[in-house]
Amino acid sequence: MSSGIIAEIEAEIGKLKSEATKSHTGRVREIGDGVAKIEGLTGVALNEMIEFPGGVTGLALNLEETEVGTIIIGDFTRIKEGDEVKATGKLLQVPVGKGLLGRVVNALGEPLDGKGAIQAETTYPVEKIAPGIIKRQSVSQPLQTGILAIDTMIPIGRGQRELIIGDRSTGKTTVAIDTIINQARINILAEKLGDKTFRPVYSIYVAIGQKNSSLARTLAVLEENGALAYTIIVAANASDSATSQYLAPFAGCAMGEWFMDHGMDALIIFDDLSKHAVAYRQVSLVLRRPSGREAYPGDVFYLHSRLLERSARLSEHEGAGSLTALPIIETQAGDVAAYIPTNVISITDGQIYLETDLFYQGVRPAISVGLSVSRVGSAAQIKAIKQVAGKIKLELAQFRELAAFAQFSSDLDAATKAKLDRGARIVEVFKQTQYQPLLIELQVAILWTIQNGYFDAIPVDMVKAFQNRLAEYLTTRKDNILREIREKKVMDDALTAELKSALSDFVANQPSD
Amino acid sequence: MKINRAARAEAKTLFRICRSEKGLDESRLRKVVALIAKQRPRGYLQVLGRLAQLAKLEVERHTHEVISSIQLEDGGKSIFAMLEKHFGKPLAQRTEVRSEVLGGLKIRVGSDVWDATLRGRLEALGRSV
Repeated sequence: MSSGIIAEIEAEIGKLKSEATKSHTGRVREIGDGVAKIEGLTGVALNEMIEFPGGVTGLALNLEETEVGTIIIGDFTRIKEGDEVKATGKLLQVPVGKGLLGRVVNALGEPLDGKGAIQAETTYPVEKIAPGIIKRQSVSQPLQTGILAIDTMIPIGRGQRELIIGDRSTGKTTVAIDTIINQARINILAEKLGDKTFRPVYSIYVAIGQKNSSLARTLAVLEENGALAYTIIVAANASDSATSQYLAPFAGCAMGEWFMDHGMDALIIFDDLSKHAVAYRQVSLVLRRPSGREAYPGDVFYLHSRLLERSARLSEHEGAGSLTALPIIETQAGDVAAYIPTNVISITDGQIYLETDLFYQGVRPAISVGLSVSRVGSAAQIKAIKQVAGKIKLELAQFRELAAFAQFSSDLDAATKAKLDRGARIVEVFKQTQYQPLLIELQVAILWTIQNGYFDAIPVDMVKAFQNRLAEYLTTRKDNILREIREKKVMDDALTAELKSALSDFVANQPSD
Repeated sequence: MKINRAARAEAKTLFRICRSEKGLDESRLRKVVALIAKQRPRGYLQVLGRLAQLAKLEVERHTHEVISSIQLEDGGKSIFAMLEKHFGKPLAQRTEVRSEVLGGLKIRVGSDVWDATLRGRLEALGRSV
């Protein structure tokens, strides 16, 4: 072979760009309980993704003097001591966008529903700094739950953080699911009416540490009610690792932020943050972080505050999107003064407290009027609701107080008796079947009926039946009144007269029994 | 061996003493180790254990390693000279022959790795496809 051709080949090889890839590496020193201790990895960032052999991903959480504590997302049983790992230079990200609606995903945004790959618009980092004060505006638009007692007395606004708190089996998840169903119903109605100014609310339901059977039930309820198409479900169930359970709310929050950043409204449910705190405690203890009260790490408050602080209503300049959060906390034997409940109560803008006693008395939703509060939501209530529900909370509180005293006395003056009668009827009206949220216009009409004494003549045990007949009458025969309430959002004289006339007709046609 | 916080702090202080502007002073470290072994202060085994860990990590951090598929002609001397020019004098130098890299070189300085091997490129290609 002539030396000429060899020189030519060598010249060609020389021209080829030899690309060397630079990476930061380390070695696994210790592995166990989903946590790996890694030596090396100098220059790794907090929350940076670490690539393990076999495509397993980790997250750098503890940057120590000589090693890096990493939590493993996925199957850690394949990782061995001495394995070489690589820093990816990327923070943990999840897919976001409308392509996730109607899907069930895990904490990494990977599909769990067998409906194929996610058509994501982009990815968002799981950990993100909450919008600052300049980017925000105060809560002024309502987010209707469809639950009469909540929309009347503990109103929620778009961008608010309202805690749902109560013991086990008191209907916390039901309140959240009702809210999701109500958003879907309002969205569908607005789509049907072709309302261009309407802002739909998309929902994200984050299930943390739940039984698979519970989640399957929730999924079926959402599907039955047509709400799944407007909902993303992020699942880190009881059988998933503590790491997944710790990350799931942050992943869900990132998905919600995408809607907020694009001028849309989103609602996120964290079901529940008690289990999230437990998962974080496990991760922290395995990482050997110092433990504090109830063995929770010192930054458990910051964990929840930085998560919930990401819910906001953005200013008009930023697109006026919002992310409303409904975190759920499960208390033990009604102890709201425990560590995690008090933390989350202090972070949120109010709480809906569900009482076990009320639940078993048949008052469902079992909302304790005295302990429930919404700190910012009243600014977001529509005027019609304010007009008809102004005194309801006071009347109900007076009823509870008087009812306790009335047990000791049989002779009551007329005013006290009237208050007791009115209170008993309000309690009956506020009872609501699960997964049947009421549209706001119907709520206004019902509350107006109570305020104007139409329920006073009805025996307490017949109140619910009367209310149901009234709702049916208004929906089927007087939908023009409901439409006017929805459009005007205020009870003016004309509307009041129309409602009065409709109610007179309705009462006149009631069965005599 | 479980090393308590006091031993860690003690070892860290001693390790700092063993470092000079140029890096780890091996003779000073030997003297410190000999002195501890002789005086045997409280928890000396834990202190020595931690010192060994710190020294090992320091050596790892300042080790230049060249991995190739075949034995390098000059034993990698020219590459090590270039690495020394860029990153300073190492505490250790290593060459390794690994046939699985197929071709090219992989250079490691501490935890930074520059991979210009054929295997690395094939893997990158596999990931991108």
